[in-house]
Amino acid sequence: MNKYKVNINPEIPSKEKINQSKDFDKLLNNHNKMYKPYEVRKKMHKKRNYIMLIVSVVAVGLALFFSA
Amino acid sequence: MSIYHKSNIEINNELKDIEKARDNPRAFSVLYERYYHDIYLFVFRRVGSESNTQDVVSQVFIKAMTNIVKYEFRGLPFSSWLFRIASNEVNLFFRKSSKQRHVSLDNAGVDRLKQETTDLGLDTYLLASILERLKEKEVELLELRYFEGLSIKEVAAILEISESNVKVKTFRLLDKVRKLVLKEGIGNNE
Repeated sequence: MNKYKVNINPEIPSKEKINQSKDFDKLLNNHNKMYKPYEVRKKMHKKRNYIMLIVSVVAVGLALFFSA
Repeated sequence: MSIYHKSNIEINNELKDIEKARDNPRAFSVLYERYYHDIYLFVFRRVGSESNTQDVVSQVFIKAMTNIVKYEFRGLPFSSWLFRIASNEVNLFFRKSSKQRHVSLDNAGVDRLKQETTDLGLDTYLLASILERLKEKEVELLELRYFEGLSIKEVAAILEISESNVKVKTFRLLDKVRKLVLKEGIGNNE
């Protein structure tokens, strides 16, 4: 098979036809499906860190209370 | 498809559009509307079918939307960044699909190349026959510089190489085209 398929003076799609394929809402949806989960995971990760910090402080506090 | 002919006001306005798109993906629609047509044609000339073109163009704009936070203005138009993404997505499409890469030749593009090779009697069909002997990067350079008529500066921005590098590569490519045309011409006459 040849490396390239050469099209001589090909028929270029009209502006109207190209415009028909435009769909920004679909693009935004696809972007949100790919990107938003990452954003949500980042927020969850931050939240988890705060929770771990609070739990550690409480655990240390309780340990000190009961050892006294 | 000239990407450099913008006034300072247009460039500044575009930077504001980019800033808004970074903060709010919905604001990316301004850039999408502005460049969709040119990116579509850029991809179509290389991919050939409308359905594949739509898929690749979709990927181009998703990548652009996702990575716009990383875009930095370095004196080059935003469009050259988009065309770079488009070029990468076209290459990725062919690596994944093992389909044939399309090359679109039209009279205007061939005429531009003829001006650099006046002594050869180059025509569209002769050019089509020697393309097979060129590497992908060489075909890409021919497409950008001659078939799409971009300036050296524009080509350098899309390929992310210096302008002098574009000039050197173009010089070597034209030399190779001349040798292939002469060889082909001798072969046809035998």
